Amino acid sequence: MNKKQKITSLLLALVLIVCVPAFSATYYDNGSQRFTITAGPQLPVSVTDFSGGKTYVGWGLKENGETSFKPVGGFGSLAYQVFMNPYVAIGGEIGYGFNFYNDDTLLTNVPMLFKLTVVPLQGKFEIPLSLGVGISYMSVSDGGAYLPFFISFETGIDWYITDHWGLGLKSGLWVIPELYMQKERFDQNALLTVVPITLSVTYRQ
Amino acid sequence: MKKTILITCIALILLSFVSCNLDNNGILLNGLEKVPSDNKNRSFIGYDDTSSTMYYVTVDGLVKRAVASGDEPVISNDSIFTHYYQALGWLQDDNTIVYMTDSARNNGVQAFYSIDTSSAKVTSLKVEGKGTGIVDCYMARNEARLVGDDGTIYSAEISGETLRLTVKSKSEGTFRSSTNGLIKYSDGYYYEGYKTSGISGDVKSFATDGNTKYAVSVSGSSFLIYKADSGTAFSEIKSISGSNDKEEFPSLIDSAGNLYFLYYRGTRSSSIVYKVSPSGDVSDHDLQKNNIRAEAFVQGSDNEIYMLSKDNNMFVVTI
Repeated sequence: MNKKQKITSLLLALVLIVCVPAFSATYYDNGSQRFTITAGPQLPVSVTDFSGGKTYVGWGLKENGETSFKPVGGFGSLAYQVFMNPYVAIGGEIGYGFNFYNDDTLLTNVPMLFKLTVVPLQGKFEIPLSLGVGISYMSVSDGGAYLPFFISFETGIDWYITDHWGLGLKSGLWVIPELYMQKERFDQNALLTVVPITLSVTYRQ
Repeated sequence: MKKTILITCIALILLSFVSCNLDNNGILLNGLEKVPSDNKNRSFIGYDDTSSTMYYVTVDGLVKRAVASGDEPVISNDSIFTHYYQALGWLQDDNTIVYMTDSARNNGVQAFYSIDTSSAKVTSLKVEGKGTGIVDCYMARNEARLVGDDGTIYSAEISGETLRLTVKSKSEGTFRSSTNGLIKYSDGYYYEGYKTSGISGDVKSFATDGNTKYAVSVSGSSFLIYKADSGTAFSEIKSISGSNDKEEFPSLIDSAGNLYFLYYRGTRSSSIVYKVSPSGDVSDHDLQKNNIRAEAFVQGSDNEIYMLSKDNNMFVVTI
């Protein structure tokens, strides 16, 4: 697939996502609620060193072939959302994630975020698209902690086995910056991205 | 009511940010520096009089290395070497290592042990004369010196199962840092209780052979190399541009009076070994490899210079 075909496919996918609501039956009304529990592995994807101008992709892979992280950590969360209209829900999510550095020290993150979800396809199968903005308390087991703002993107598919209960598979991208305002600490500015891949149980009404 | 809740929430978030982010130190970038536990950093203890044997601690335990041959057996895997938060050790004499574990997560209790270098027997020591805490140690005229967290300098003596500390010097200034015996107080740098002159910048390395002293400081984006032939009046002999090193690094004066140190550029570029002659001539060697950090330099018994790296074994230094 060349670049032009890729762009065309992407645009078609976007048009599809935007147009689906126009043709799909709606399940939700203003005031409908969703309560979601998720759990699954969390994969660290990259660490960017701004002052060095480098991004270490693939579990923080360095030039010497060592990775900064162990490949798999974990993530779990609780989310509650209320629909503002049949397609858009807002709410909050709180979670707990962890990853191990390659020396077995533990990096934990406790995110608390405001979440906006669009559900263009809904009914027995749903494809929610979520944008989250919040803060995440991060700490390292051998010392050090940080509380950054961050953003998250998430999508997946939910299958409602009853009218109210659904099972889902979700993934996305968490973008967590560590940015300092003090000039003498600019060289510590960095960016971490992680991908959670979670199974979810959702109750809706 | 809504306004009050909103203001309270914003205040709480700001308070959380300030309290959580004041003391942190680049936790994401620090993660890049971590190495696997089977390749853990070496912590240098010291070497014997002839420089033929050196001791260091790894995740496996206490290692006794024949410097030149490369044999490096673990002579003790006692838990004091593998379970600690911070630690430091020194060679009290050729047959005795004193090792201190700083259990910062265990009510701040610092525990001291002596280790017989032949039998590897570990003995717990009682301590007499210690202040609130020990933060560093260095060797001066073949004697161990300990640095207290208030900047007090102690000598150390073992008597039976007691480690007796005696105050050697104490400055009126506020203690800031210790770099291999060069102590920074609020009113300047001191060595063995005597105030130095001529040093500016932030000293990252200090070496002495008993008479000559070299201090390497970082000022702006340059290394400044200072030398004192005797006494404590330093003069700058060389400035090398291109430094952004933030951590202390070891250095060594060889038998010809040359200074050796390694400039570690972290993950940003390669590491460079510098040799500075007594007159200030600088020669260097680019290791062409990242992640080499020096843990210690050792003058070999055959007049070779060796560098123990933190996690890449030993190098023979030839420039």
